[in-house]
Amino acid sequence: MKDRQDDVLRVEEALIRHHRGQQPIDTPPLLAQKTVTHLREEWMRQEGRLPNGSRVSGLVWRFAMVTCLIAVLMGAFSVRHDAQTEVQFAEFMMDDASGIEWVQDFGIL
Amino acid sequence: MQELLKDGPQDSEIIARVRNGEVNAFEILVHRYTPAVFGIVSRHAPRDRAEELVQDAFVEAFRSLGSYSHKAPFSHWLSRIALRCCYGFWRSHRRTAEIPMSSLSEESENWMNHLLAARSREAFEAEAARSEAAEVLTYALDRLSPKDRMVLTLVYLEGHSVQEAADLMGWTLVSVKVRSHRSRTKLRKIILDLLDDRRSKR
Repeated sequence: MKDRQDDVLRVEEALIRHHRGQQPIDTPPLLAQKTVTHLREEWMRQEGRLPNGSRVSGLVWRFAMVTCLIAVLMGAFSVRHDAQTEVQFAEFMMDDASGIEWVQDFGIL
Repeated sequence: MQELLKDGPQDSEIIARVRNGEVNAFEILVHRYTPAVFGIVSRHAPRDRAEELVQDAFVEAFRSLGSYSHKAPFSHWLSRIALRCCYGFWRSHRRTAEIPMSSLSEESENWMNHLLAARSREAFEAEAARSEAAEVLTYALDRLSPKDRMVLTLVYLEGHSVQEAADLMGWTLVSVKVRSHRSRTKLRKIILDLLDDRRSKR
């Protein structure tokens, strides 16, 4: 039993010696530059400048969703109130006759 | 660049500039500390993952720069981040990899025979320096949990005190003390199993 314990301690000591005696590995010459490049990509991604950055695509996605929602609401309104003309739409949107006159003055309708 | 690294602005000055929005100044710190961080990471993680972990450590350091309080030198703070990146690597590796069941190569089993047969101190040291020792060590460390592995490497293989290991990993002193004892017991059990296996094959 004691011999087995001694053997374990000898192997353990050899492993510790091996670890401590290892020569340090040379740093890859371009590692710092690669790290800087990686960091710059990270900064740009955080600022939403990259075309595929999640922040940009998130904003575009949300804008598209809101636009669709408005279109659906307007469609639902036109079906419900049987709105046929642009003026009827404008009345719904602005709910103000003077507003319609103002819009008509500018030639939008 | 070399002059900038040696005689350039102090770390604290660079950190202040980064905090004031001059993020490019952080690049000086990257060039200054890449060799040190690579040295730490290559001792605590597989060599083929070391470059990736160095990059992760600097990204994490940049993100956490707001919490750096100047209580310890920047290099110490960065070392802690690098070690925690290594710990994170082993945790994710443990989650995704299967438990290693492979046995040692014949060369490594022979290495143990030669090591135990060595009579002189010189012969023992020559055996300890052989590359087969690295295989046995990797085999043993792969069978420990990520926490045990980090504590064993810091305390027994690298010779840090329990207090230093606790500071480096951000764990409590008691936890590291208990874990260092437990991990060494596990290492000895793994070695004992290897020796028994070797005897049964004879």
